[in-house]
Amino acid sequence: MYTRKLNEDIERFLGSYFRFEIVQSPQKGYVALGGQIAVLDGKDRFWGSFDVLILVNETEYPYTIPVVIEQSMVIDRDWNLHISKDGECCLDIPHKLQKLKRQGIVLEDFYQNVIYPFFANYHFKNATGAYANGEYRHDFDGIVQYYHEAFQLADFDHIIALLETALNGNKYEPNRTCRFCGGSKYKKCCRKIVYKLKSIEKSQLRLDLQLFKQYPPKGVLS
Amino acid sequence: MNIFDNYKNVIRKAVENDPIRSKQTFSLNESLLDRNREFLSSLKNELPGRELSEDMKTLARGMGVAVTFDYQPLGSHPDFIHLKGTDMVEEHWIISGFIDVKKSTRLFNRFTKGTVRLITESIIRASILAVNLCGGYVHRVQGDGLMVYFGGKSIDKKKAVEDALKSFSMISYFVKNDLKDFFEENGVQDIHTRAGLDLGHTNQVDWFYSGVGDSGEVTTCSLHTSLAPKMQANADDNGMVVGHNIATNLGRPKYFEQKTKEIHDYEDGRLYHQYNFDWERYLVDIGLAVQNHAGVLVLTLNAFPDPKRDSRDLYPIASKSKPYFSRCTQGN
Repeated sequence: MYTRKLNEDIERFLGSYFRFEIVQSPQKGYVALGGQIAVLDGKDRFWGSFDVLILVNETEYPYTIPVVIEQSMVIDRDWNLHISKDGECCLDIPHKLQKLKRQGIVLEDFYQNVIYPFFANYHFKNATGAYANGEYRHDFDGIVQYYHEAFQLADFDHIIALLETALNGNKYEPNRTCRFCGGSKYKKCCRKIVYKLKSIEKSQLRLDLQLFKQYPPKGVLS
Repeated sequence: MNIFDNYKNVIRKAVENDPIRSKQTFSLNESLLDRNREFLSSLKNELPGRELSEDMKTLARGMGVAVTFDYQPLGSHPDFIHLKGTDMVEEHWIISGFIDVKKSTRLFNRFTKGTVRLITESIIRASILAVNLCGGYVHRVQGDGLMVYFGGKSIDKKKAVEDALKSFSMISYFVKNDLKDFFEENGVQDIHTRAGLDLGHTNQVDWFYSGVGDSGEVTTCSLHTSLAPKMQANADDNGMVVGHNIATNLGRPKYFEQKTKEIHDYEDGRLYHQYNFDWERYLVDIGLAVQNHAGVLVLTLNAFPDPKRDSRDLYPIASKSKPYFSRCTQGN
């Protein structure tokens, strides 16, 4: 039994994308949409197509991130192509996806802005040798990269301190010198980052904290 | 690949060089009009003739049509040409179709009548191409529209139904997708097609010669030929309405939505129903069109990646994605 919102959004999605239909779900509690994505560029030139399965959590929607499985085996099951052995596509760094999840997704928007670009990007990499907007490194290195790109943070101790602040809800005097970076006012530097970190799921922050404590820094990030 | 690009380009050039549009003057003098007439006359030669372009040949191959196919002559259906000048009547099933382009009368405000004429001719020629590619016969050109037959003595009825729907879908696509945006950019709204199609079974269609001497044509007398233009009139903008016989012959209900009002009352308790046909879904399902990220249809054969594709055109959409892979954080 889907929520009304999920019903409406699936109906709208199926009314817009004719190659998709509801199929038998391999996972209990998820509605499965099976279909074909045709990748076209800005000049509507055709690049190729993929058979995919989109699994949407029935009860959590819209506060969920659909699982996308590439079924046509067009993409080699090579982790350098950001796909699991089972074809599960690693659409983005979890931190960004969790932000979307927290805001609540609209299936059609998620398809247009996350799912479709992932497959377009596969063709881009095939044609040029690199992803259009780069890629995150694998495993913990990708998380380090995320903190660097999103918050300009590279120092592990600094990151650990901010993660602990976000997780524990510690409050500091906003107009005093920042205890983390030495900035003139806490509210103008690291507090902004702490607020942004709070939009990420706590379980992810805990995992990040554990990883940052566990692994020594590898050096300067490019 | 866009098989209609040549037609669209002629329309674009005609519009771009139109003296009214380019605001050269609103009271056009004869020399200006003469120059424009000469330009339009030479531009007309750029319209595809009997030769198929490479894109058209690719599409034809994909549709299983010989690339050397020739346009059928207008008028009498070749399978019934022997009825010309005779009093014979022959029963045989046929699909009758009517499609026309409803132009905004604003076209005449914005462009010279020569430009409007070339726009119309381009659309008609593109439509004739689509009909011929799908094995149809243009029976008559009527102003901005066509009367078309699909079927014949050596054609499977179900295949003819599929071909008719395919052909009219392609024409609808051309006007809705290729031309509409262009016209709207030039301040012309509401240019659209309307189409009607119906199938008359063998016991429902008489073929005969209508006329006197050479002043006549081999044509059909059938309720279903007569209903097709009525269905066309009932179609929404860019819509296609088909009869019950078409819907049952295709046998795929997902494309058909029954209209509230029947198209014909037999006055014996039976009603003949009409249906809106979802031609966009049909084009995608039969592999003649794909959809871009926004769901907009693009006519193509999805088996073939476009040889002219350029990664720079893919960048804007691809760059929205930045993938990641982790064995420790899989499963969001």
